[in-house]
This record gives sequence, structure tokens and C-alpha cells, in this order.
Amino acid sequence: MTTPDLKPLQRLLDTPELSADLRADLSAAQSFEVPFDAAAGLARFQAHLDALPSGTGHAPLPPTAATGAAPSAALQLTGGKIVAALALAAGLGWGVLELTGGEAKKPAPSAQRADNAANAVERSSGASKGPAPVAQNQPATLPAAPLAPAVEAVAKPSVGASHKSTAPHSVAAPLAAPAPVGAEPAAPSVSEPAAAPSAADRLAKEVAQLSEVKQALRTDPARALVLAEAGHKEFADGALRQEREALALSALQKLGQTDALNARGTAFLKRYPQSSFASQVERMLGR
Amino acid sequence: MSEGPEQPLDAGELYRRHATFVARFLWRLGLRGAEVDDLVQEVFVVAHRRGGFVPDRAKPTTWLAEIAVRVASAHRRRNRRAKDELELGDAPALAADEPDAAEQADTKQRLERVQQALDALDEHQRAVFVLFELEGESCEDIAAGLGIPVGTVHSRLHTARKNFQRMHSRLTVLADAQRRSA
Repeated sequence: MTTPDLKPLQRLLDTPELSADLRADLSAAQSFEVPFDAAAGLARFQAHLDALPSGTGHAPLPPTAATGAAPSAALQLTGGKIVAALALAAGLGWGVLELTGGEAKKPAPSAQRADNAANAVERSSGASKGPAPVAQNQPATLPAAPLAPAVEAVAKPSVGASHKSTAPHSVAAPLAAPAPVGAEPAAPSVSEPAAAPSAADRLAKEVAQLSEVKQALRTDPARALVLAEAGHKEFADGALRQEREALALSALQKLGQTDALNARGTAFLKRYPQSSFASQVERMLGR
Repeated sequence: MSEGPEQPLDAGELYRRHATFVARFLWRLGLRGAEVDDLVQEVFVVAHRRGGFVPDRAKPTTWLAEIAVRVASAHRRRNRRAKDELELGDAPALAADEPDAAEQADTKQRLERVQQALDALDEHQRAVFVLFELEGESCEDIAAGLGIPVGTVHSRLHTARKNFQRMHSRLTVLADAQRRSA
């Protein structure tokens, strides 16, 4: 295929003969950080994985194996007890490094809707030519997941019992995903393990604490820094350390503490080279 | 985005590394707000059900992009909505250094122009254009991820560029005219 007017493999951005406006617009779009709360999303996704019947799918989360981070509380949660924490996170609507509050008004995401939709997508995917060979190994039509009863059973308890939440069904409702190959669509095991409540409560507290840090960052970066440090101490093996540290770095930048920012930013990149925040931190460090 | 040598990624690690990419990609496909949150979840649920990402076939980003295109397309079918509802008004400032108001307004205009021009593309063109022009993926990686021949990537990119540039140029002229009359 030839493209007579453009070099085929050169990006428009890198084509000087094109209009400066076009390139500037593309450049703005390229560097735009979308408002997305990766921490809340990860917790929600983890809740989904944890709700899968054991022995199906893939082993969920040896936590941050590639980065060597401490084991994450969120990763150890099972079943529905993560619900309260996630409802809180969704209700708060925080985006860790997104400092303007545009997302606060967003409705809490519906995990049930998302999971139902995922079923539909997967079915339609099975009906079309799957591009990835791995898809061919999966059942083309997925067994119907026993959604509703499990969702009700798990989504109801204690959302907002200890935390005010406006999102009663806003959380990752467990869904029995079919096993990759040849497994029966087993009912999800949603019974609550004895050890889960404290872990879920801890995650809820950590989410709330992170939200405080973020709020403080808007108006009082010095306090945000103190709160982030307190969070690191209180949740030494917490799930959201990366997110808290990213906020601490933003606070340092706002405070003009360049040396500390450089030292901690460099340490952050070393510890979490694949972090979602890595590119933002690199920018903070002027890299 | 820096990628290490590809290794098998479990579901959570895949999410940690690439959820932001997927969110950004969905945003550029025209989705906003809570839709993005929901569809990111969907993308990774589907990815998990497909057996997770297996290296050596494609890059995880372009592989996830293929799923994201399907998910977004299914979402649109479920939930037809006027595209002009896009709320770029709540586009956030870049994280740390808050630009001044004029700069922010300028950036917002630029983002709006790009999004409107992207909206002029059909979904296949848009996916290829975004991956190549904004994400810097190679045509080969896009082809492997989307499961289409490289020639098809080239031809979609070619058409997408023409359409994008045409729409962008129209929008730029319009903006200039408005600026002059203001």
C-alpha cells in the first residue's frame, strides 16, 4: 500500500511539512492524561478475579511481581467483602493524579453492567473471526454466568454500613467467569471467609485515607505530604502505596521541594518502573 | 510507554501495566466518564476470559486495543447516544503544573478539535489512527494486535489520515474565523 501524499510510516506529528496547528493539536492529544482512577479500577478488577471460582481462570495476582512491591491488601481479599471499600472508592470518585474535580460528579460505575456486557462482547467475539489465536482455545459461546443471585447476595451487605456511599450497586459484583477450557460454569463461591472483613475494612480505610490526601493536595500540599506519610506508615503493606506516593510527589512539586522530589521521584521510578504513574512522574522530574 | 521484555502477565499485572493505556484508548474512541471506568473493566474481564495475554503474538497494548474496539462497539450498540454529548468541559488539567487559564483554554480547544476530527472516522479507521498517530505503535504491531494484515492497517491509516486532516482543516478554519469575528 502506498500513500502518495504522506510517508506511510512517519507519524503526522513528525511530518514537518504539515501544518503546525495539526501537529500541535496531535501533540496536545498525545500528552493528554485522561481522567482515570487506576487504583479504584484495579481494586474493582481484583474483586472480580477474587470472586471467580477457584481453579478457573488464571491465578490472580502475585502482587506486583515485576516491581517487587509489598504484597497488596487488595490482592488478598476475597469475595464480596471488598464491596464496602469499592463502593467507597467509586462514590468518592477520586482520580489519583487528576487534580481537577471534574470526575466527582460521575455516577458510580456498575460492575454488574460491565460484566454482563463483557459476556456479550465475548459472545460476539466468538462469533466473529477471533484475531488472537488464543481465543480459539476458549469456548466460543460462554456458559451463562449465574449473575443475578450472586450479585444480590454479595452486593447488598454492608455497603455504606460503615461508610456513607451513594452507590449501592456500584461495585464489582462477583461473577462466575467460565473456566478457560472445559470447566463447568460452577457457581461462584461467595461465602465470606472469616479473615476477609478486617482486610476489607483496611482497604476501605486506606481508600478513604488516600482520598483525604488527594483533597488536601488541592488546597494544602504541605498537609497532603504529611497525610501521605501518615498513610505510608499506617498502611505499610497497603494496596495503594504507589498512588499515595504519586500524590506525595505532586505535593513536593507544588511545594517547590525539588531535591526531595527528585530523590523520591527517582526512587519511585526504580521501584515501580511499569507504574501507570511512571510517565507523570517522569514529567515531574523533567525527563 | 516503556515496555520491558515481554513475559507472561497475569491478569492483575496486565491491568496494572496497561489499564491507563486502555482508558486513554477508550477516551480517544469517544467514551467519557463512568463509561470509561466500566469499559476498562470489561476489557480486562474479556482479556482474562480469553486466557490472558500471551506474549509473542502481539504487544499487550495492541492486543488489548482489539478487545477495547469490540467492547466500545458493543457499548455503542447497546447505548446509542449522540456523540455531541462529549463533555470535554471537564477535561482535567495535566497533573502537577497547572497551566494558566489561557493555556488551559488553548489546550482544551486543541483536544476538542482532535476529538471532533477523530469522530469523523469510522471505528476501524479511528482505532488504527489512534494507535499509530497518538500511541506511536508500529503498523506491524497494530496488525498483530488487531489480527489484520499489515496492508489493511496501511490502507485504513491512509484513509483515516485523509479524513482526519480534512475534518481538522475545516475545524481550524472555523476556529480562525470565530477568533477573527470575536
